[in-house]
Amino acid sequence: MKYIDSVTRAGRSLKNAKARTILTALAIAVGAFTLTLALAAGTGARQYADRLIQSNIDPQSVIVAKDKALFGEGGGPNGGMKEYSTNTTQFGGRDFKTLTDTDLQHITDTPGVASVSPMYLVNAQYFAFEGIKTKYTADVSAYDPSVRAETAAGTIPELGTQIGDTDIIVPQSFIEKLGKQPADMIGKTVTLHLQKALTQPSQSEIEAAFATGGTQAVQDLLKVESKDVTFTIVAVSAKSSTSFSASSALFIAQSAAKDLSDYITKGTDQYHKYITASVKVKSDATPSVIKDDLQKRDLVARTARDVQDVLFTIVTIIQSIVIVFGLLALIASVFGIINTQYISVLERTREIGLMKALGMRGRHVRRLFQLEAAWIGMLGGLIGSLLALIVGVAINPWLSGIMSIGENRILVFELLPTIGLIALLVIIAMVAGWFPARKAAKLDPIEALRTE
Amino acid sequence: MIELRSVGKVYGKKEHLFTALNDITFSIESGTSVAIVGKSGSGKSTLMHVMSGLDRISSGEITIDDQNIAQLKQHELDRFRAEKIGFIFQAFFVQANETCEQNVSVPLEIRDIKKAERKARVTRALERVGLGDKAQQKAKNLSGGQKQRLAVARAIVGEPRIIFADEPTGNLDTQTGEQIEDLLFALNKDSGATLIIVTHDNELAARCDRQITIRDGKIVEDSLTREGATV
Repeated sequence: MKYIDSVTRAGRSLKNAKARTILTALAIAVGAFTLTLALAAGTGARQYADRLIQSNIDPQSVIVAKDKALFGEGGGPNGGMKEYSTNTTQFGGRDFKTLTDTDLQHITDTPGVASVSPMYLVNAQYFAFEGIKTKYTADVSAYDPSVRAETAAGTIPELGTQIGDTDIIVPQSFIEKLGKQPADMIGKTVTLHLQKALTQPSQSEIEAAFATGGTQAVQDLLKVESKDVTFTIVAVSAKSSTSFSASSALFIAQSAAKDLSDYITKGTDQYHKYITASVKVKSDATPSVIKDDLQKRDLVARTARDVQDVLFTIVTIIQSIVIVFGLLALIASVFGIINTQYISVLERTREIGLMKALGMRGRHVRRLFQLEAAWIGMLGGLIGSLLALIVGVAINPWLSGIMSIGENRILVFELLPTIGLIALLVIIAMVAGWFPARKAAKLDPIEALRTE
Repeated sequence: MIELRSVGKVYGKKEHLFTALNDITFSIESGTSVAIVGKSGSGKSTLMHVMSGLDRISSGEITIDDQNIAQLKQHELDRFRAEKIGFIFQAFFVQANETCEQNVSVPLEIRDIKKAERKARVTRALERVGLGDKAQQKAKNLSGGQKQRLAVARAIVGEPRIIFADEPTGNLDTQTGEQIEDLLFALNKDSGATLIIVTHDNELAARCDRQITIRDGKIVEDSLTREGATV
């Protein structure tokens, strides 16, 4: 029997049992539906992550730190009592080991490094917006030109260019808290109140002060020094779908941050200690090689590629979970196919017996039933994928809305993986159909055609 | 030419041994019509099964057109049936949900015959049995007599050397049965195919050239009903 005739005949047999065929196919369709959506979500998430990284991170930049915990790579517990070290600093309520000037020098000396800019943390006492009485506190951080921020209002220089010394970028969430529109805040000022860290003067310093200026001089010496610095808002960073910097910190220029940081920490343990530093790699050097070099110096580094890997790992984990559910549904449907086809074989004993009597070979009978299963698999795959496509197209805008990823689509359907999936379902169906098909092939025509 | 030499067929093992055919020897000339007569359980169906290659014999040999079918491998035997044998059954065994054309097409599909040729031969076979206008009708819409005609068309479409008919009129009324009988004997004369009818209907048996009577797995009578036929 020719293959094409077997395919036609198998398809015709299914058409004669429409209800049963469709019900069995629907079981497979559930699996196909889940898997198609999982594939689409994976593709969409990866595309989105790619876009995110390309538009945000300079591929030649490496973030370097001293503390592994910063990159979620272990390190000691952060709560509770810890050994005091002068080389730690507080950030976000947690203690981190810091980079020192020596570390920075090591980084600068590493071949292939173009420039190093440490992250200056400015612990302002408070800050105030122009025309608003309430004082607020927040992290103040140096603007990283290698990570692009999206704006809700105002303008930010292109990737790689630093903002002006008196410029400040305010997160949209802050403006919302004020009950203002982002556009209205552009050009307004923000004043940071900085307090110099208290340093206990030595006995001799106090004595010297007393000798020169009496009690007044001693009071001046012990007084906490502070100053106000005013910045102009140039931009409001958006809570963007393709931006990493939707953080909750005020951004000021690198040089301004350095000045302020130095001012606050001068004379303390924190002077010239940094949590992270942003390293710009020369265009002919490979970031991952620099990363390895830095690791030899007991520094941790993260390249743009690493960030991408982390994102992709998350996507893969989520996708795998969905795929597992899809596969479970498929396994259930495999039993559906086996059951249906067994019943079909029992119902069609006469037909099988006749075909065998007329000289059809056992393996051709088996092929016929396996092809029926294949048809069911294909039908189920088509129904499932098609439903997934319809549902996906319908809910995509809504999904993008709740995930606030703008015009990006989280479900991206591709033709080739879908065809691959349907092909896989056909193969699975054929494997499932093998058992009933074997029963059909082994049928004794004399027994099958016995009427009395 | 069909030749059976000392053919035996036993079922079961040891103490449950049952002898269905016991030392059967005879030969049938090509083109003759032969009735195999006997009561149910006599072994006549088993005889038909082994002669048509549906079943294997336990001993002896069966030679059809100089080919010993007892020695054929399973797939060779399947092919032998597909090419040389046509079957007609009491219960028709036509596929109710398929059209007449599709029903008759099965033996040709099994033999890998091309679609265009299949169509021509199926049309010819359907016309031969008087169902030329029913090609696209579903088999379930046919009457009993028409269904058996359809089965006859299916049996002759491959132009077999031998046609086996197992109680071909058993499920039909007398008049329709006679029409089928007429058709079978006409085909036997026209095509030169050997016609072997298994029946316990004496009238039908009497229309054949030769009658072989079986009882308890043995031939008890072998007679010619018409002049000129040879044993």
